[in-house]
Amino acid sequence: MRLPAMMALALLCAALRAQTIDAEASRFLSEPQARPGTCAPYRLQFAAPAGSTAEVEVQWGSVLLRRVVAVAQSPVRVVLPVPASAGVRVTVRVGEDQAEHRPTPPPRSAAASHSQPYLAVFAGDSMYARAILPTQPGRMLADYFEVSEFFADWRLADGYDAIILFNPDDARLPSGAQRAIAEYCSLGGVLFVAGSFRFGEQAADLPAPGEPRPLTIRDVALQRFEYGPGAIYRCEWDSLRRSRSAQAVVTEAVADHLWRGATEAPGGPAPTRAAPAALPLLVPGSPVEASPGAAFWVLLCVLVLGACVLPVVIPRLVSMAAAPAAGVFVFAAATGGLAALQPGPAPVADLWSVASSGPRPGGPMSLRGFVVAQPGLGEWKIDLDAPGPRILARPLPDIDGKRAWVVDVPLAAGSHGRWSSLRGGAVDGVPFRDFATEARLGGRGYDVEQGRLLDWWLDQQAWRGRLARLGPAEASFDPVPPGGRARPRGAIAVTLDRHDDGN
Amino acid sequence: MLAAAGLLWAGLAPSEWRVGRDAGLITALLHLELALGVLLVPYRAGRDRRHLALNFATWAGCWGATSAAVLLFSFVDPLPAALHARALSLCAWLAAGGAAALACCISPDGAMRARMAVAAVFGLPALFHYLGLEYAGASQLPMAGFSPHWLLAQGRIGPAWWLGGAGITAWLAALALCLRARRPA
Repeated sequence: MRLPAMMALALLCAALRAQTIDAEASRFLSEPQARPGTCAPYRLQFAAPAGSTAEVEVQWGSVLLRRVVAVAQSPVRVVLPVPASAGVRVTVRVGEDQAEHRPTPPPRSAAASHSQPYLAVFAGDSMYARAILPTQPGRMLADYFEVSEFFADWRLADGYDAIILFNPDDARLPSGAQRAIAEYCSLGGVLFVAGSFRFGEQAADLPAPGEPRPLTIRDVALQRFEYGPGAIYRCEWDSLRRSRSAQAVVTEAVADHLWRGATEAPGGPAPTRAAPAALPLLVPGSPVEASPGAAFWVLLCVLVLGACVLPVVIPRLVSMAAAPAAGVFVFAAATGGLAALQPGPAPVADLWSVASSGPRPGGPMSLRGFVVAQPGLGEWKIDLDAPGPRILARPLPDIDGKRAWVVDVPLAAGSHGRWSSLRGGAVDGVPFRDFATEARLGGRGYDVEQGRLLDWWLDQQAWRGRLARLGPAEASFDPVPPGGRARPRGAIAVTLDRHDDGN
Repeated sequence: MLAAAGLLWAGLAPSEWRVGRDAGLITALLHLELALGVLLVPYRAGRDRRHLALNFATWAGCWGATSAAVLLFSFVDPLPAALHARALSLCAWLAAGGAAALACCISPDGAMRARMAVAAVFGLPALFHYLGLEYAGASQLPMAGFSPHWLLAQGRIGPAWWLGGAGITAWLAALALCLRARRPA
């Protein structure tokens, strides 16, 4: 009788363990759509004892880590940036217990498109927002949220082309929203605000937006604030509500930024923050050289002396024929064990970066880095709650057997050399392929590594209707896995110009 | 020998021969260590337990000393590849030493023949692979398991069970021959 009862108890315990993550209640908030290759907001629900601290890890080539304190016995709900890709694992660790979950990507793909922006719409009443800004395939795709759910981390908005905020009531945004907006816009995102808002925090260290520029779309007066590669559009709530089509106003404002003021969509693929399918030529550098320390020389002398002296000395002490060789073995094992304790050099991560800035000198910038790590670096853990630069590392296929990532760094800093202008498929009047070939060979003020980056960037971007300024650069931030040493290989800076700025 | 080679490669050799003080030096030393397992150890011919014990002790002493020399240079490698490759090295040395010890029990000049046979087993698969690719378009990659050098070149520095098993079998066979020879007729 006792045995079956114990077995039943064991089975129950196993069931409880398996239910730590509520797979039914956990879901992408953007269901049934998401942009592939980017992060989407994911609500994870799991059970944890009150007062315990749960470590939530999202494993996607790197590890996104968040610590959550369970305040009550009720299920814990946390919203995380989770990649909308297959093969992503979410792990919850509470003390010794661990549960794993594999989120299923949403079935519909919100692919990047010049004519169909993907929007995150925040409103006090999301049903009302759905009514005045409905999803219309071919024109715009939208996910709807309450203002109280406003993202406190730009990585939650990673997949969206624009964030739309309807806030007629001047509601206060959650803490962290101001930084999230600044970082999102510095990465080229658009914020459209109808009404006004108050921030929940005072972030004095954030760069200020540019001066407002008036524009009118469908009889609605707007202001455009440049924010690095991104922009903020603002209009009165009443004027948007009274307009004939709020949807047209919003989509045209978003297109105004994404098309850089042009009247028609630019050529080529639409921009997305997903890892690029075609990569620049990233040639990992040679392994780092190391110098021997004092321990090496001491152990070398000891080993050579021992190997010479022991075969002579041992036969005088022990008559057994095999004794000298056995003595050498024991001595060598001891020396080898000590030699194995010598510290090796820190692994190196090669870093190439493209800095993006706005037309305004000294404005906010962001960085897209390509990192190729030499073997020996451990897992790259990115703490979502860390105060430092809130980076996002997307995995790339291995390069020459080495792990690689493309890393987005918002609000980065850097300096650049002389600008060249991309106009009509020509850089400084030279066809862009000729210019890239010269740069790749170390000409036009670029070194070879910078030239390769420039060649790749032009190949991806020099489409019809693209205006830009570009130049060699120096990045001031090294996003590499912890324990590694960054080896900057090449950097360029680019600014996408607007068509209506006299260019 | 290994230590001298390491020092030469790391700093004193002419620039065209230099390996550099990086992970490549460890790879070069590991290849040399595997080759020394076939070439270096002096075995004594004889069909008795004393000779076998001496051969085994000599083998162990040589393997220990070369291991220590390789581990000395582990400061150049961010990965402990020299340490991780001990299993591969032990398996290769067991196979080479076992074959030579067994051959020493069978005939007085057997050690040299065994060395040649082991060198052929270790070295020829890569040649067959090349010839197969060049003339028949057929890959011989499954033969990589026979050659510790090929495994090392592929970065598979874990234990090579086939080699280790063959080596232990050869040593046990040599022991059995010695015990049988000692038994009175």
